[in-house]
Amino acid sequence: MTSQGWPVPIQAPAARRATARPVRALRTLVARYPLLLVGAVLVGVLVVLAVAAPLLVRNSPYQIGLGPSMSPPSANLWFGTDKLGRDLFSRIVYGSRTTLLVSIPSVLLAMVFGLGLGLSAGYFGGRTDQVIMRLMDILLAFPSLLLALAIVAVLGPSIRNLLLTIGILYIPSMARVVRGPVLAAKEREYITAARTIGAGTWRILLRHVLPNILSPIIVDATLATSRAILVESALSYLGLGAPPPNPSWGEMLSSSRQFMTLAPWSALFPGLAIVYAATAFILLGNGLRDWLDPRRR
Amino acid sequence: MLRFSGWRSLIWLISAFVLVGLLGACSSASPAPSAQPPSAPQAQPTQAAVQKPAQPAPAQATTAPAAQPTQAQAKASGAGTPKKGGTLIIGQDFPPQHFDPHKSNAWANTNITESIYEGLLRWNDKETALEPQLATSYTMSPDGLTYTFKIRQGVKFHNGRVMTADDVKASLDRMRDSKSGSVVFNDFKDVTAVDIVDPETVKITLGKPVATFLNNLTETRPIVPKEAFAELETKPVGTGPFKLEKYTLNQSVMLVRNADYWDQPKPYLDAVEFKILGDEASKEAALRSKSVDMTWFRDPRQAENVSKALQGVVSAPGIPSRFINIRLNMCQKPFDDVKVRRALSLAIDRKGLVETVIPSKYGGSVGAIVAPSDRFFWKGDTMALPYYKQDVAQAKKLLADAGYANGVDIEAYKVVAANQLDVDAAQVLKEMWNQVGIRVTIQPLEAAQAIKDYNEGGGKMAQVGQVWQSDPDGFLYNSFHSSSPQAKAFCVNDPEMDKLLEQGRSDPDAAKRADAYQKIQERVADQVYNIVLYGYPLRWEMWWDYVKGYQNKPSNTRWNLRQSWLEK
Repeated sequence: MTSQGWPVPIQAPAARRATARPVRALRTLVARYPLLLVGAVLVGVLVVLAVAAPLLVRNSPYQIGLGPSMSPPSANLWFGTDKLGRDLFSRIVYGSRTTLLVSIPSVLLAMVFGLGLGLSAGYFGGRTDQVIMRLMDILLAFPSLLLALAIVAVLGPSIRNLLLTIGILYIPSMARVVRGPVLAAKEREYITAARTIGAGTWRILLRHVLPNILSPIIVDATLATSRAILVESALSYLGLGAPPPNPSWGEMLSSSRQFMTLAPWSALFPGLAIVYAATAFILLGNGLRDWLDPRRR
Repeated sequence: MLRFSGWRSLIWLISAFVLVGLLGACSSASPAPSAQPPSAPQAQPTQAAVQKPAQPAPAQATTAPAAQPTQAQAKASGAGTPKKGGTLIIGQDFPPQHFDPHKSNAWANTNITESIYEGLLRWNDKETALEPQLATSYTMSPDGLTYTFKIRQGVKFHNGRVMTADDVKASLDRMRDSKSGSVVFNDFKDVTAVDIVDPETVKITLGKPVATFLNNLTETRPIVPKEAFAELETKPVGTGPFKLEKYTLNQSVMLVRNADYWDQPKPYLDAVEFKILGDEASKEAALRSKSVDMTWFRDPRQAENVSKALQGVVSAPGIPSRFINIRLNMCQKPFDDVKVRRALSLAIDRKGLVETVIPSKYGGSVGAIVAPSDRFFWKGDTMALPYYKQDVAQAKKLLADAGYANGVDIEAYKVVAANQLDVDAAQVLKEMWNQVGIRVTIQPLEAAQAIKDYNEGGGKMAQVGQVWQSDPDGFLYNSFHSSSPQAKAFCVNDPEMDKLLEQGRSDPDAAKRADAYQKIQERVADQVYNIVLYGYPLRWEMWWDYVKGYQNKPSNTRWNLRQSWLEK
């Protein structure tokens, strides 16, 4: 039996139907949206790496002098060592924590504020809309990395500040993404209906508008996560990320840059890790977009 | 770990694949520079040896630091007749701030401006004694209070005017006047008068003898024409072998030959271009592709790798002229308590630190508060200095005695983010201090901010590199003498230290000066005013072997560009 074609002819006995249905539904989903599966698996691996980091590595990522400085990959030290003789494999696995710890909360932060601002701007319109959206335009007018550099330079480098910085960076785009669908949704009949039966503004916003605009936001958040990973790496590369000795991919890349010819692995693996994480979230985001977009069903 | 066996084999597969790829890449890269014959000359007498030594300055009466000649001085400066012409291109790491030599003594400025300007005196090639430059000779009165200089005649400034005693006086007056914007006025604070005796003679009078005074008259404190004062920042006018042709902001500094240079036939080069190439990787790429003829590296490991890979490059490891130290703010808890400071010092495995960050085979060494290349550097084994040997138990005990039995948190340990070696050292120290319960948070900062905190006492601990200067007096006096603003900012108030510093500054007896500096080094270690980590070479210079006549100097100034030529 193939999983192709829709609808799938249902021939299984009734007794097996209860268990077979979710599996089959999943299969169908995968067949129609392969990107979604690939992205989800890649992101899943990343999350597992971050959560189970202590179980996955043998050596502490902080222990100095585990091997000779910049030794090549070996049976014990899979990715070799960095300049201080630390286990690069451990540091890259733990680096996924820094990456996720910065990128996901910062996107959540951007989402919360972006939703609030975008909903208010779109729903209330008029002067509120003008003020909020012009403020967002001002933030958008700065090149994102430059703005991030400026904020980190003022706040000082730390994981918390990095998170805030990237969060602030993505509020404007999030607010814009929210505002558009809200403008469309508030003219719909069901909103008018809700208003006629006397629903309050909050109730309308949270129970009627929000659920109907959520899918583009989820997609945007996922894609923003991949951009956040890149910004985190870039800031760490510039020495403004998570302060050492926190393992961070960008910082690893930066500190091994001058040894590219001497110890290429020390730059290669962190670079691949960044590519991997960014790709994973982009694939997941694209998959979600295809899946959640009603016009593509 | 059986669960992950599939995982592991996957990793193996990937790393094997990657390794094969790398091997391929390496083998294709190495035979590239085969066209260059390896540099043949083995050991010729250098030009420095031929030059006649001038009368040594009183401050330099002590012997030269032992065993300082670098490999380069043997290998460099091939014999042969100088050939005129050509442009030498140098890979430079920092852009100059401006070109006014009196208003900045930043390294990024002076290593360019020393080809444009000259002082009354100059350092010899090993930088152990002073030689005449714009002065032809000088005498010192027996009481050490007056210096009389004979001015070299017929020297022309870049603007065509002949230098006179007037310019010498005007320049010296400008340098010692803090209102002129001069950053070096402190070096001249004991000067009471500069007088023109006759058009060829200038007399400088001091209020009290300063043993180090002559050191302040070299090319970093140069003579400039007085009519050019106002515009020196953008339009430098000096007497040097090269003059500024064009400065393209943050890209390149173009110097051209000064045809009227007084020491003909020098310089041999038509032009020297400093290309500003920010980071180490781009300097390496530029040297490999010969888009620069000469450059220097900060990390000796990278430099060694480059020098091995490139046939035909003259490689000149520097001498250990820089030392890294952490300044502790003793106005605040917990560093107001000497026990905590000693615990901090005792927790460090200094040898281990050196071997991890900058191994001794690359010139790293356990440091003291004077640069290792300085003639006043600690005479014995630095590990014999007080509180230098690691003793974790004793450190814990001292910490407990000070009332920090549960350890202490230091929220900001400031380091220069751009200097990778400094950041490396900070990470190693953090682990070492963790063992005794001192928990520090590393805060990487922009260089300017870190240096400001280091100088002005912002925060609790700031780590900065200190570069060798011609004399330790300036740095030590400013850092630890209770009258200096820096010492005040850090609450250093130590009468014993003041006495030693005064002795080091003014004692005419060189042996007594040396003795004072030995005691100062011991006292700083004992009281842990600063934590000195390690000394290492500031720059490792490298140039293609068709650059002739050049040799590196201990302080890595590029003085010798004036005697270099190209044989391409």
